[in-house]
Amino acid sequence: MIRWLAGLLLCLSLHSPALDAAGGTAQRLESIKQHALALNTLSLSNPRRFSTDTIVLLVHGNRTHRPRHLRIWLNGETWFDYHYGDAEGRDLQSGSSQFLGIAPLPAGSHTVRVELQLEAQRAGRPEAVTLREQAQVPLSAWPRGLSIELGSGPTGLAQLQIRPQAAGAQLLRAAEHALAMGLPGRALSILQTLAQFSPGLTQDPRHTLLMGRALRAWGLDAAAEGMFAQLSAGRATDAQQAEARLQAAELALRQQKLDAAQRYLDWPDKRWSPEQLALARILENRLLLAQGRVADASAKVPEQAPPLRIYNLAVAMLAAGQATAGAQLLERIGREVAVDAQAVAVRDLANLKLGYWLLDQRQAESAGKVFDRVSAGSPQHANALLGRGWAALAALEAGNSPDIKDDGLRPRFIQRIDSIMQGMDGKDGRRKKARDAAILDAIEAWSTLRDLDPMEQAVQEAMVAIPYVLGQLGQDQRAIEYGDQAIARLDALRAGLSRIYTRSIKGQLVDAEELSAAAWPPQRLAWRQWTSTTPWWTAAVPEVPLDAHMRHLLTDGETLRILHNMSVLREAEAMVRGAAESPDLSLRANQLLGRIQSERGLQQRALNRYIWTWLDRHGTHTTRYLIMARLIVGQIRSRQARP
Amino acid sequence: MNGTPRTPRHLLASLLLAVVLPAAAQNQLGMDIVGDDDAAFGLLISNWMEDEQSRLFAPGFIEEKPETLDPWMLDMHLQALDAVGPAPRAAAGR
Repeated sequence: MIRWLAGLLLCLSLHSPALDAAGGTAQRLESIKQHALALNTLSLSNPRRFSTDTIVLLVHGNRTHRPRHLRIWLNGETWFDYHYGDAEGRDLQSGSSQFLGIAPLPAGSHTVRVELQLEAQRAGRPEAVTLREQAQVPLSAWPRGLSIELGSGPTGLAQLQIRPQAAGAQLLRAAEHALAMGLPGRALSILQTLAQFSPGLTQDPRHTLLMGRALRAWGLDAAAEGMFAQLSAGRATDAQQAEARLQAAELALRQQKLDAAQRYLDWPDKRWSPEQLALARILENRLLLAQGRVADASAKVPEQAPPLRIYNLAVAMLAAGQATAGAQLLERIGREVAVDAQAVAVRDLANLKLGYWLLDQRQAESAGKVFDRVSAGSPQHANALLGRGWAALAALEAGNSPDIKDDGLRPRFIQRIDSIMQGMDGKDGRRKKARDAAILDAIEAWSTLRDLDPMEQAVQEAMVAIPYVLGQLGQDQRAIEYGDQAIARLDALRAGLSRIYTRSIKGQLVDAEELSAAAWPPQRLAWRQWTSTTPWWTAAVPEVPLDAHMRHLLTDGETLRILHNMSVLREAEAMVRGAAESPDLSLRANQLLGRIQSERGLQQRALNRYIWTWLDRHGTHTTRYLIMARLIVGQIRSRQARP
Repeated sequence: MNGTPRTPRHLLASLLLAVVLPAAAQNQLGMDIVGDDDAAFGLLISNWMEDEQSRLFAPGFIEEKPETLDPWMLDMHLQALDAVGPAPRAAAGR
């Protein structure tokens, strides 16, 4: 299996069009990953390289204690000193293993000392426990392993043991742990090492599935698909074959290999579980849409389908012109009880997109109800509140003047407000009452946005829309108050963004490698030190701190992609550094290390360019809203000054 | 500003801008333009927002078109939100 993978990767890497720096980012990274994996495979098959090495594992077999800090001394020297994050500790506590590294321990007897700090819950309160153990460990020939095993003693107390062995099953769990922690490159490296300890285990479908998942997570789609395809036809349980077929079909769809996707989904026995059947139905529909068979696609998907997959099917249906079916799917996700953070995020997004789609369809009342379903505090909440306000106004318009001609000159939301005001000259008391109620409803939704960060466009728009509506209502004083506040905040933001832009030109704002090395994948509060915690806009004279943009920038998709690329390069570098120690691979390994270093520079420059574009875009939008706010206030003052 | 007229409609808007901006607004902007016409207010705004999105229905600039979600990217986004911590927020009612 491992040799097959090495062959495949070498073949892919040698035929990669991106062996030089001229290729696109994705191609260059793919080439680096393929070369790194191939070199790692070759170096692992050379036992001479490991004459002085030993694999070290932490085997966590105690469900009541969570690891906090681990220190290991080998022959009196500190070798390992590591603090565990919450997510990492939780995963280990569930029975995982952790690959600690390759220690410089040749065959012979060695003194190993371990100190493990743990946390346990006693009567609902966290209790710290420190375990210490020392042993004289005899190590034999390669492949050598050393396990630090945390178990439970006869009285239920946590117990440490040091053993001179590492089992293949433990390495498999360590690979799963690395993958769960967002380190697919490390997971692949562990799976390759596992072949040295338990060659037979590499034929196990669990190993193949895990290898496929790790390759997929590392962005090597073709190699991952190859792994899953192998399993879908091999000897594996129904559940494993079904998972492999679904994964392979999804990868094939992503690569626009529609015939291959069809083959994976055409399973004569069709022994899907209910959950797998739901996913298969969704993939079949997406395949039909990709094949242009729009009329054959159906919005009827089984209940067990994951919300994110339903969402993607809804998007594909909307894009293919099946708007009603797509909207029905969004409505279904939007009403579901979410069980985890991802499901909540998908539900909020579905409600937001559906709300704006309904607004476009002039179904304002329905849109308002859908916007109300977006969770408070979610990233979509600001845009939902903005939409909520527009829905209140649009509902009024629906019964007033349904045909608004786009004159092409005014922003359409201004046209819409104007159209509502026209024809409501106050003679019809009932309609005037309805108008005032709708406007108050809109202002109520928008007013909440005033407490939020003006760097968000929805906040900027609400800050401008409120005084415009109030001005049109003749509530000049309130309009001016709102308008002046908008001007002060937007003016400060514009000046602040300009300062940040100038600073970014003089020197890099974000060190991608530093940030990615600090915590990747992102961990709770790990980037807090780089972001502003001050609601600067509430000051009497607002001034934007130089880190005000960081929260928005660090959660932006493109920034995350570049930070992830830095993490991939770090993982690839770790693999290649090992290979560089083999005399017959050192030349190629050192060349690859040079490419990795050069790629880091390219990634940093890409991030710098993206930050400039991002700041420029936000500066432009802020300027436009600022001008609108000034015009609104200026117009009202001008009106007041008339005799 | 990046407001070079690109179409006859934008040219018209620019010409109107030069003649209709209220005096008070002129002071706000620090511009030397005279004129007064409330009805043309929208034209002025349009002139400052020369891109395809400026004429969208509500909201003015924000376009909420559904796009396919990548599960990995969604997870990273959620974790990144967790990594930067809760957003600063003004006390309610300010």
